[in-house]
Amino acid sequence: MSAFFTAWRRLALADCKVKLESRADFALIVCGMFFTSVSSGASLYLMLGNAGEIAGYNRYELIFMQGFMFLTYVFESSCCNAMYMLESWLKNGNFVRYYLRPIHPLQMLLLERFHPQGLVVAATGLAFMGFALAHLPGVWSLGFVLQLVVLLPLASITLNAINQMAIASCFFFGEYSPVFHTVGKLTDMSRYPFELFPKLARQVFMLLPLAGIVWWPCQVLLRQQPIWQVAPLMLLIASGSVAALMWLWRTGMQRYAGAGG
Amino acid sequence: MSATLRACWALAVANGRITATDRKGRLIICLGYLLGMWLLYWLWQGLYQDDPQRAGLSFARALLHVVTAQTLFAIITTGADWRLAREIRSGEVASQLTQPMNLPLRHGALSLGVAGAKALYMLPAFGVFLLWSGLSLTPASWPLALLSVLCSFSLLYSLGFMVGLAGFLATDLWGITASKDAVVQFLGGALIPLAFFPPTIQAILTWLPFAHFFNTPVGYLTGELTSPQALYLQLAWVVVFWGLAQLAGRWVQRKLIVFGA
Repeated sequence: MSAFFTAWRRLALADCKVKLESRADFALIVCGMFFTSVSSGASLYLMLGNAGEIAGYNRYELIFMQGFMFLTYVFESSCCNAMYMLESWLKNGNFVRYYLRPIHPLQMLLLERFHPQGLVVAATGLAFMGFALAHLPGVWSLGFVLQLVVLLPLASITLNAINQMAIASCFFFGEYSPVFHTVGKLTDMSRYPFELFPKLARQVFMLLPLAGIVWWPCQVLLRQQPIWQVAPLMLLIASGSVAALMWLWRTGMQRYAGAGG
Repeated sequence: MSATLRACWALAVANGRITATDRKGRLIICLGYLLGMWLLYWLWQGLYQDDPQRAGLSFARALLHVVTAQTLFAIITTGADWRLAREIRSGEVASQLTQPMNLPLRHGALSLGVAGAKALYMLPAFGVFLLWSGLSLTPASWPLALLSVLCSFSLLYSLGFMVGLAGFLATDLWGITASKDAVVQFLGGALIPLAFFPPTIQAILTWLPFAHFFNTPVGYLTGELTSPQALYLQLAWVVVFWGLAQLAGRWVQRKLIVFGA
């Protein structure tokens, strides 16, 4: 495992150096994050108008949920950018090398590329959460920080596993974009309160791991639900998602018949 | 001239056929689209639960605006920026330039093919959603509405073409395409109707090109706009954007150096 982390650290440093050397690239990435986050935050702000509530959640709670969503995305944004290459590797045969190296394929995916864009995503998420917390009296405390530290990695693993499962659909369909876009609509909507949806849909979202991305953690962080009730559930959701992802990759790799490379 | 038009038609039909080839993909995209619209329905219903009128719009009018704009965005977003940037970076653009056809026109024809194919399979899904939600499009004049949609396509394509030229400056195009998509959706009225913006900003956006990406065609399609005044302004912006795309294309051709085949 130490060999893996040494390789990963070297790769991350090299990738950061290259990306930061190209100032145009980095400036454009910062612009991309700025405009996407500001447009989603401003849309929410304008939608709520003077009343400022949806399904019992006020404007700042909703902004907090958006910020939490950004933070759950940091890991994927920094470390899993290579997942978008999976489809072309399957098509051009480059994927064959995944069978030849003595390392778990998902670990190898992390070794492929590091993207400093994740740092911008983290800054955006923290800014959203900071702004929301400044307007939510009584939420910020040491306990809040500890709960955040426990719940955020679990939510991040869940989101990443869901997205990687969507990408892995290219093992079966040839292309990932139809499934990935469909799943993207669901994960996008998971930053809103599930109380918006009819009861049956809410139960389906609970069964799917979607509730583990933002809704369950925010029940603890904003609604004082005891963490000892939610954390084991989140752990179950995250580990279930990872197990499903690994099963999907194994099935996909057994099915793959590549040539060339 | 007729030879150019015939070539454009052939390119549009060929690219449209490529887009429409993947049946499973189309089905998943349509299901994902319906799911996204259904989620939007509940989000906006939650917003209107306590107040039947917001920003002078009823729930039905606001929802009709948003779903029509999102459908339009899904159809007329054709990936022209990514395609052009990929051709520039791979050097493939050199062989395109040897063909007796203007570069922006060539990419415009390819994009028209993609938009046409997407319209063929997404409009029935849009019809299903309208039927389910009890909404309907009631344009005062279909020719005006369709002309406005065509102008909207031209505006978005021209902008995409200019953004694609960033392939000369940056190796990572995500930042600039994400910025473009976020800005045109937010300021163009695809995320929320412009009626939710403060009146001064609404007036400014109407004179600038932003409102004409989505707000104007959606206004004609839903019957909110009846006079052709907004269309004249939209046409003027189409001429400006098309001229800018031509200029940018020529500038790039003077700078272009490609090695190899």
